[in-house]
Amino acid sequence: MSTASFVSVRGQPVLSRTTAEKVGNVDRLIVDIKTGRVTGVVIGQGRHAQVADWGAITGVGPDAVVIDSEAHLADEQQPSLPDLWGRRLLTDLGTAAGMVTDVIFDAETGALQEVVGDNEVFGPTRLLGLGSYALVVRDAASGG
Amino acid sequence: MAVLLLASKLVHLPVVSVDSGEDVAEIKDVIYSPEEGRLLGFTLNKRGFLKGRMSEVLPTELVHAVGEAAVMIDNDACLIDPSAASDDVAKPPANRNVLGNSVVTDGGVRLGVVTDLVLELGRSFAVTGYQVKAEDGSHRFVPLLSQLAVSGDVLMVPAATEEFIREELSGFELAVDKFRAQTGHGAGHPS
Repeated sequence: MSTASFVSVRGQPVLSRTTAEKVGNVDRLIVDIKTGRVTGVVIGQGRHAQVADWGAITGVGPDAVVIDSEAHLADEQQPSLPDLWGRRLLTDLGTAAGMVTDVIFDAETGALQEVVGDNEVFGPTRLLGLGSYALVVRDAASGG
Repeated sequence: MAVLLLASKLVHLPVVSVDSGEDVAEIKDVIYSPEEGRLLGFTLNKRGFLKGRMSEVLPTELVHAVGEAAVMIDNDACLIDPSAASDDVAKPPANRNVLGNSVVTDGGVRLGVVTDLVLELGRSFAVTGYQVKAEDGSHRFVPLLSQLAVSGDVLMVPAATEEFIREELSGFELAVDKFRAQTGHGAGHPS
């Protein structure tokens, strides 16, 4: 099983398997906290940003992200989903836990493995909610 | 070891939904019942550029936890219309504010004037004591029992309270526990 991280994927070129053309660069990854998966990649920024769903991605490697074809790209929906990387971390007890500095995921399935914070690493079962204000994680003392 | 905080520090803290990660409101004021010795709820302000009073209130029963960085709720439905809340929370009477009240022991000693509430953070958010300003102008921390005699402007406490007064918040929790163990009173946590 190979793993990838947000920090390593960020800025990587996105190539089309069909045309071998470069589509753009990875701006960020879209994550569904409730299912614990990376659901897509945002390519480019601003008005020209496009989204490739996880199903359209054929490979996340050390040098590039490859998508099946340009046909699978869609314009980014507005308002865009909050970015996990750099997000404020807050425990369910209302305690500040720094920022998200990286996210480790399975490069084949997109399953989240770890959210890395300034001071602590959180497994997928501790991720409770992601919004524009914070990623809420279960406090180590919270139990359950 | 419980973490303690002055209730006034909660004002302006964001109210964040555990489920959505959104800051849905911020604390405007703390509603406290001196008779019950516990928090009843919070009045709210809107967040962001359109700041201003929010009509919804947050009863303590719907609070998930109180931390030094945020007041946590399970989801947006925890902010309720005042008509759905108890009268104490929907229309907190102005004369219920304990700030400025005198704390007097049943031995006839005036310990000072209440300047703030001491809260235990986390899931209990019990009120464990009062911060008072003494005659000499110094601030002290007075442990609180779950039952108190309360009049319009005097909070009556047992004389034994005196020896558990602390000048710093650090160590105050221990004093509260000792005091309660000695007097045989419960911690007065909200259910």
